[in-house]
Amino acid sequence: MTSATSSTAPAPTTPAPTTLPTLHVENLSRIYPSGDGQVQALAPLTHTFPPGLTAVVGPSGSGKSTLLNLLAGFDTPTTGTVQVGGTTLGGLTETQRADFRLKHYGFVFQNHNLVSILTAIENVEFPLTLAGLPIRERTERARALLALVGLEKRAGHLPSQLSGGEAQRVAIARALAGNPALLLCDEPTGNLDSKTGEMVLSQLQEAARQGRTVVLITHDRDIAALADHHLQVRDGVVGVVD
Amino acid sequence: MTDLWRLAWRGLTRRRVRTLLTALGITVAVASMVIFLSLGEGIRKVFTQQLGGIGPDIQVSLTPLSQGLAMHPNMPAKAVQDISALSEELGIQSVTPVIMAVRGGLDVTQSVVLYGLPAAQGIQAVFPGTTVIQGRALQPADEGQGVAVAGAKAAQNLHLKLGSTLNLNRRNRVKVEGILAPESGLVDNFIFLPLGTLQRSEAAEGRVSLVAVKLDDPRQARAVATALAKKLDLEAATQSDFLSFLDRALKISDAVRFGISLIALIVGGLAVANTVMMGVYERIREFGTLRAIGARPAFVRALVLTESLLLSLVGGVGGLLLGLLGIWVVNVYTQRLAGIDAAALTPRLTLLALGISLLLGLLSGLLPARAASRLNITDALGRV
Repeated sequence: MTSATSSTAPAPTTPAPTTLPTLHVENLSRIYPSGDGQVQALAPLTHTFPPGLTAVVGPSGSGKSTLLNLLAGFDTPTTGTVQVGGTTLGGLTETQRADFRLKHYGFVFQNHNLVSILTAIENVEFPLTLAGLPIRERTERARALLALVGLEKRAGHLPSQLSGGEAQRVAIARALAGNPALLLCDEPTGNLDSKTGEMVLSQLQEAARQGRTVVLITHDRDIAALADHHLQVRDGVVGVVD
Repeated sequence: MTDLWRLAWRGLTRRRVRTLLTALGITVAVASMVIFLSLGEGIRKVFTQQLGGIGPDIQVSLTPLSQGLAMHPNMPAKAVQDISALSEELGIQSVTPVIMAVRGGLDVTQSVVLYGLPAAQGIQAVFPGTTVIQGRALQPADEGQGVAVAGAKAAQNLHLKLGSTLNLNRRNRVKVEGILAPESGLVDNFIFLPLGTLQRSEAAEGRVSLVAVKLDDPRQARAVATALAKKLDLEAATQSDFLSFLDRALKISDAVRFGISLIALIVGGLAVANTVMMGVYERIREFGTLRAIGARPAFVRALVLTESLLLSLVGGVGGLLLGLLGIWVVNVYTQRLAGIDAAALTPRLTLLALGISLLLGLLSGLLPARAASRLNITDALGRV
């Protein structure tokens, strides 16, 4: 079981740890009941996600988000396993899975999903609070991360006082707060204009350059083109493009 | 822990009006409970103070205490001689026959207790703490005469002054010769008369309501009371019998009043549950996000429970403050009425009110907390 009290997260500008756990899926599939029948949302997939930015492309309803939910441990697969390093997500309890996500994962959602009652810096601090970091340490780290995404002057603002692009950059800072090895991004530029989208994307690329495994769900082929690796999803079937 | 409370507080203050209204609901529920229960506490306090240091060690009457306080003069005065005859054997210091009657009117402020006792023994034979503030005390020569000494509150309520005449009935009237200093107790509502005077007025010559017995050693009260009851076939109650009888009566009364206030508390608890549950549903996506980024189910559960506890605690403290105001109003009224503080906020009641508030918060928060902690992250994020 992984501990939720890890307090050894390095500074945000430091590259991700060299001994990164590998994200591997083995015979992973998901079938949902639908009326009297069943819908195969994801056909069996065996794949190892390499470090760097992997774009998962496909039209709406193709199974991209199903894959992301399984990779994150939000959903339980019908068959197969998700392995991070030597750990199989399916073998963990809810609490252990929460601790595991806190330590190894960062998430960026389409709608920033910031906690509305917390300021920008408090949102970034939140995973560090869960990890049990002392207040001074987590504030310093959150401030540095906000500076990294160019929002140090917006630290005291609530999400409602930020633009969509700013809120999404705060969400990236929050995702990087625990210095995770894996970054799962679900349409992070979907609600942004192209210029802001590029800014957000460049920050994800930077995170990938530091050695992390960044999985980017998108239906935008232009954005996908900027990724290092590509997966194509169509009707639940995942194909490796390169 | 501090972060949890801060987060919970922010969660509540996000919908200020709704939170305020819910807290007010708790406030009113707790205040009503505090006021209801404070009545018992106040009465208990008054009686404990009144009977702790004064009054007879033993009260002998024909009817048992469980049938109410001895008022009706139904006991032959011969009992006084019978008890006196046992003085040496049982260590009895003094024996005082007492006759009591209540004069009431539709206006409760006009109600007084007429208390007749031998003028030669004086009021202090039974109530040693009393002092005359105006006029004089009862004297041996007053026996059978139309004189009275009024308690402070009785004098005030009936507008009695020195020399005033008080009509006991059509044929009997007495003149106020003295007024007692305020005692802040029941004696303030008494009007003391010579025994013979009140017996005549009540047409109860040769009979008394009770006999007050003082002992050489008050610690022997229980044993002497048992002996008296056995030897004379009468009811003999000690101060502690009286207090425990009163305590039993107050406990029953407490239970009834608590039962009534429980309805308000349940309504308040349902309001908290509703507010917290609505908060959970409104923030389901937020809770989903918290779970996604690494919050344990227990954290989310604790957060919702803390919100519920906080809401109830704020309501509970508000209820205590409102209850204090209510108690003050009640006491202003009962002071005017009977010269006593009928309601009191004791530490026991304060702790009970806060404890009930927290319990209410805990119970009301259990269901929403369970719902929030067991949410499906995928559904909560609304992405599939």
